Amino acid sequence: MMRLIGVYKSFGGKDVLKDVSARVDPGDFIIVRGKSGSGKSTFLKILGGFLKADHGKILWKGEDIAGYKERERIVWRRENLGFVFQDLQLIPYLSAKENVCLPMVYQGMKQKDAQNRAERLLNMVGCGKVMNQDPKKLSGGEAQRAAIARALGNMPGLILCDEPTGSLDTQNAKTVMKLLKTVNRYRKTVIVVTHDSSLEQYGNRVWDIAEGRLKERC
Amino acid sequence: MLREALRYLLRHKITVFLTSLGIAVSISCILSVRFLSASVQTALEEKLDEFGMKTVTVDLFRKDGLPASFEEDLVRKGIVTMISSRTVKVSQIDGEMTAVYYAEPSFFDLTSLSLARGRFFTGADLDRKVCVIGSGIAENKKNVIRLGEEIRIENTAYEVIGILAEDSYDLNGVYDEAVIVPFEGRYPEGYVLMLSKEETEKSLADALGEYLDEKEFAIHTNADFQSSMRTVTDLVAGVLEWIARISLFVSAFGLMSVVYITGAARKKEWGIRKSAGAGKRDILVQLLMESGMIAAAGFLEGTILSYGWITVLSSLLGLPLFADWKELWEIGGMTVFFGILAGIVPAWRAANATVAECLEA
Repeated sequence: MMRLIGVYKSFGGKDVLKDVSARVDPGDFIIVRGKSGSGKSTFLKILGGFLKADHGKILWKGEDIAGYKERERIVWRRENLGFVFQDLQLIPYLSAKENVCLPMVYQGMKQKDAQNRAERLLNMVGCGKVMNQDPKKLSGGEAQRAAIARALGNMPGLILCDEPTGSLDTQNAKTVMKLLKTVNRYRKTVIVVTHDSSLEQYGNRVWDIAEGRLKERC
Repeated sequence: MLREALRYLLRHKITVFLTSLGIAVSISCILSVRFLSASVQTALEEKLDEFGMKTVTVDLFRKDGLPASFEEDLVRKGIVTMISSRTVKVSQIDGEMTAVYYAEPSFFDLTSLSLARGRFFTGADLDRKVCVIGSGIAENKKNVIRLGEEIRIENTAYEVIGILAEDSYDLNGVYDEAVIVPFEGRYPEGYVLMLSKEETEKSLADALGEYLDEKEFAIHTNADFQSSMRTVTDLVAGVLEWIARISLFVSAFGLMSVVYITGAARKKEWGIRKSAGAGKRDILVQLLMESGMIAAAGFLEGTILSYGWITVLSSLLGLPLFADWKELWEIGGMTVFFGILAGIVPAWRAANATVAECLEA
């Protein structure tokens, strides 16, 4: 599904990723672990096409997306990618449902269809009762579940999560990870970047990033 | 996207209100200038219409005048129904320089001047030293002149037989500080006359052409006065409006800086949107919509503001309330255009920021 071949990235002369090569298969649930500053967020942004690699190939279904122009990357993201942030990033002046509608609207879906799907997704993640609430009225767990629902809005094949439990308490963290696991069962590939070792149990594969190098744990 | 832009603005009402206030003041100035100039123009035209479109003045530039039969000829030929010679001289009256009109009794019928006290002079007074004075002369700073008293014009005493009502005027101006005496002398400097119903300015010019060379006379009609009046009011209104337009332009810079600041402050939002699949165009359009909507809000505020105070002003000054909806649309369109224009640079910057930049903000 996705392959990284010899990916390099540096900032200001400092190598953040060095010769990163990996293979992601459909239905994988990958936990990427690393200390702060190890390059795991950069790795995730390169996977999501938010950053360009300095060198190397990123193959998506056989096609090198590293060479995509900005416009092509936007289209690729719309069709294939869902992204979950660490700090509960819902747009504050839109309701939970409107936030979930965003990727569908950008995909060109009709407003009514987008709303119907958003309602289904929010019900699925257990936020049906708060779907019309503003993000500031949601609890941390509800907001993160709504963010996951948004990441699923465009029916992506790949869901990237950057420290999705970073700002949650243990109970809400468990709920969110279980939810991601459920999503993964629908053959959605999930890649979670975290520094929290307790999340490793949810993944079928664990990768470690240290000093810019990626290693898969056996 | 329109709904999202609207939602953002509704959530930030105070920012929107304060940003649009500058635009509102400029719009209010533009609309007020337009409303007032149109109202003043309408009021002036209404007043000028009171004199009728058939009242005409003729200025003569020939010092030896016209034959005595000239006035009779014009009436006999049916070109005019009424005619009065008119000469204006500036003379000293009680030490003040004053305009003295030398005219015939029909002058009062032609000019529609009205009296506060006394009477106008008639044919019977033509050989007498009598005068009709303006209200300002009658009640000047030094003393009050009453009917029957005498005033001295160039060392000749004239008896005051009439005092004009305050603000008496005709096409030549206000008569508050003027004195009108029976015409004396051989050669008038001009005429006030009433054209017959079927006659026009051209037929009068043809008739005058029999006695005078083209360069020796000039005809001034009510329409000429209206047109020159309109030129003056248009000029004043035009200058004022351009000042207001410049202030609108300056407000657009204010809007630009606000959109720029809010656009930069919302970098994370752009990052979220871009990661959800938004393209440059989506961000650009949203910010331009917001910018245009703020300008539209300013236009609405300005319209309400100006409508309120113009209504008050119109009723205080007794001016007709004038509204040209086509112009209102034009100004509204121009404002929104300025608003969108002001949003282009900040929107372009926000749209072109990379997702990584936005998410790290």
